[in-house]
This record gives sequence, C-alpha cells and structure tokens, in this order.
Amino acid sequence: MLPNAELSIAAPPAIHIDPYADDFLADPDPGRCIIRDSAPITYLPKYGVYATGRMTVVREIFKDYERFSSSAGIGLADRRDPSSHAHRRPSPINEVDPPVHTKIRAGVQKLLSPMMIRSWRGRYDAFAEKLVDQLIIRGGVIDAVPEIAEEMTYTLMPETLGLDIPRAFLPGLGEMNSFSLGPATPRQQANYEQVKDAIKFYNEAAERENVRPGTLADKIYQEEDAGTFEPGVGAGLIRVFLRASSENQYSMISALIRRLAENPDQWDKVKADPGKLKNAIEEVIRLDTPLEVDFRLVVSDTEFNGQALQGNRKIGLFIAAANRDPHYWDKPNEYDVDREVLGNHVGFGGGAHVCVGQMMARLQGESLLKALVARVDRIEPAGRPERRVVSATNSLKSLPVRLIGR
Amino acid sequence: MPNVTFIEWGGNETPVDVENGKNLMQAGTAAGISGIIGDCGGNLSCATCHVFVDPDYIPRIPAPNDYEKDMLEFTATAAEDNSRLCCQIVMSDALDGLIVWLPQTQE
Repeated sequence: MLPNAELSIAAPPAIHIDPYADDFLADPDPGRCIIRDSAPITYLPKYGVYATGRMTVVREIFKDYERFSSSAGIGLADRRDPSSHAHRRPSPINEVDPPVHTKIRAGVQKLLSPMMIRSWRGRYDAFAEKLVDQLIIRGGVIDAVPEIAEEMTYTLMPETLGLDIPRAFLPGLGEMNSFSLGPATPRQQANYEQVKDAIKFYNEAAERENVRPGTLADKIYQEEDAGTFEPGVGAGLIRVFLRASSENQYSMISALIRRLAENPDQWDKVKADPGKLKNAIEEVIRLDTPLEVDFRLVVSDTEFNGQALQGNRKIGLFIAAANRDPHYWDKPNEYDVDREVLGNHVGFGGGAHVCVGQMMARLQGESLLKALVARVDRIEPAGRPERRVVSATNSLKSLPVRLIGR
Repeated sequence: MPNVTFIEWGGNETPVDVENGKNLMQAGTAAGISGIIGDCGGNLSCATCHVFVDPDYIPRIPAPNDYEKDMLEFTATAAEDNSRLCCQIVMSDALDGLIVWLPQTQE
C-alpha cells in the first residue's frame, strides 16, 4: 500500500445545487455541469444524498446492484419509510432488486415482446397518420405538446393497457409521477391536491374486474393467475405503466418534434433516408432524457473509485447529465441523427433495471415520425418552447410549431 | 481480424471482419445487415438481434445467461436450440469463420 493511500480516499465534496429548485427545473444544464464537473461523486447536503453526472460512474453503478440497490426507490424519498407511500405505492418492478426483480422483469418482458409490439403497431401507425393529416389540413400554428404528444399518449396508453379513465384526469397523473420522485414542495402539494379525485379513478381502473379483455392489463392479470407474479403485483404493474410511461412518452414525443423543428438539416436527413428514423429518436432520448435522475441506495459503507461512500445513503444518478457528458460525447449539446448513440446513452437507465417499456416508447416515436416523414415537408418553430415545471422529469408544457405539408 | 458470415433470410451472404471484443449486433448493424435491428443497443430488452448460430461453434461461445434465455422465448421468429441474441456474442479469434443465419423477421 502506498503511504498516502489513506489520504486519497476522500468523502465526496459537498456542492450546493438543488435539482428540485425552480431555477434548476427551468434550466437544468448549469446545475448538471456543476454536479458533473465538481467530482466523480458529489454530496448534496440539502437532501443528504450523493449525486453523479458522469457517464462512466453512472454506468458502473447501474451494473452493481449488490452495492447500489433499488430497494429504497428510484426517487429522492426513501421508500423503505411507509409514510412515503401515501401518494404512490412502491413499484413492484422498479423498487426491488434481483432475484425478486428478475422473475417479475422476465414476466413483463414477455408481455412487451416483439410479437406484442407488432400486434400494436398497426393501430399506432394509423392513429399517427390520421392525427398528422388532420393537423396539416387545419394548418396554422399548433401546440405540439397537447395536440400531438399528449393526444397520442393519452389516447394510446390507456387504450393499449385497457383502462377506462376519463381523459380529464390523465394529465395530472403523469405530473404526479414526476413530483412523487422529488421532495415535498409547494408545487408537489398543489399537484397532489389537483389529482386527488383522479387517483381514485386510476386505482379503480387498474382493478382486475375493470380492465378490458384482451388488453395488456388483462394479460398482466392472466400472468398473475399463472403464478408469474405474486398476487397483488399485477395491479401495481398496471399503475406503473400508465403513470411512468405517460410522462416519459409525451416528454419524448415533444422533444422529438422540437429538435426536428429547430434542426432543419437533421430533419432533411431523416426525410431523405428513413433508415435514420430510429436513430433520430434515440438521439432525442439522449439529448432530452425524460428522466433527470434515477436513485440507488448505497447499501453499506464502501469505497468507490477512490471516494468513501457512507452506507444507507441514496445516490442520484443524473442520467440526463451523463447523456451530455463532454468527456464521453462529441458536441454533446447538439442534435445529430448520425451520432452513434444506440447502446451508448443511458436514457433508459441501465443494468437489471433498464427501462422495460423502452420498446413501447420506440413504437410510439416511430409511428409518429413515419407519419411526419410521409406527410410533412417542414416543421417550423412558431414560438418559444416552454418547459413543464415538474420534479425529476424533462418535459415541455408548450411547443408552438407549424406543420407544412408535402 | 476474425471473420463472421451473416446469411440473411433469402440467402444473401455477407462476410464481415469483426474486431475482437466487439459484439455481433454492433458489427452486423454497422455493416448494414438488414436482418438485425438491435433496438435496445445490447441491453437484453428487445430481442431484435436474434440469430441462428452454426452448431459447430456453439461450444466456443459462452452459454447464454438467464436474461438472454428469457428473452429468447419472446423472439418474433421462434427460437431453436442454436438461437442466440447476437448482442451477447463477443468476437474472439476462436470464433473466426463463424456463420450466423438471420430469422425471417425480428419484429
């Protein structure tokens, strides 16, 4: 051992960034840079958690589920504390570790297999084609967030799942998912107030007797009956799907339209070569990663890359920051549909918990982008995009554009 | 550099030189083999890089882990005994001359 080895094991330095404060939620990039540049792992005293925004560190932690557990939840709150369950019950898939996780994951993966995705594709394609046709005929400025992203997500997600929830209740649920991943703030309180009535509908709609036959939710219950999932897990999975996928889906769709509108050279490349379509979506998931931060629990005192970490403390993996890490990406803030992004970004997380719904997300993105490429000549910005002010999620509230038909 | 031959559905053969350490999904998509999609980028989450491996080579490739075995049950074209997800086949000199057949469809 080198004489000064002891000295090189330092505690992560404290930095005074609040990733849930209004200034961060309005413009996260400066805060991400500080988290990423200060040290491999930093400490956020306000919340008593560690943070990292470096690609290499994030990747390593995702893989190491024995030292970095998901059992305390993927948000800021420690989900081992029952008082944190009032608004969002623990996820039976995201908030457990292998080996319990492995079995549930395999069951869900089967329900989202290429065969299942293919069975939905026709409906998704037709929906996107009709929507784009209607918007082109109407002409003028449209707000792509409610009129495309939310319209698609809030129609197709409950339909695919087989849930009957009044449309008016859906938007608050997506935002609730984001707020539940962050701290108690006045904004979180206001959202919880707003969704009070919706939660009742949402819990009831996911009950076995209320889901429509032949849908994804119905199949989840069939798997529960077959013993793939423990009794009670099915309803939890259905709620996770609706809530988490809604928020991430409309975030991704909005960002896709935004980047193609702001980068006409990239749009032209996709139009000229639909082979770039998948990569155009993947690059948006990198650049505008829907989930800002994904937490793990440091299981016990450990040394990690020369830093001393205390056990029983959570660590925030700022995947949106890692996806713009300049030590990993060339020109990280640019949208480039030719970038080698597939398999390199961490927008869907990583390791055992890598997003199980990622093929559904791609399906929706691909259906829309195919419809746009076939029908639209140009997507023109028509005003400033406005961010949605929610915890832990990068998402737009408003995106004025014009769709100019071919 | 070791060589792999991809045979697409319909019989189109493409030999590809693959660097040691690279997986066949990366190598195949980079070479423009149309029968491989590899949507999830090698995370064992999409089952769209399914291949049938030359049986002579199977003993030279590390056996699939549990996640891969699970995913092989969900491929768009039914798996056979020599099925693998090629994102999990890492190139090495021992695999020089490998032939893989692509299924009729991946999605």
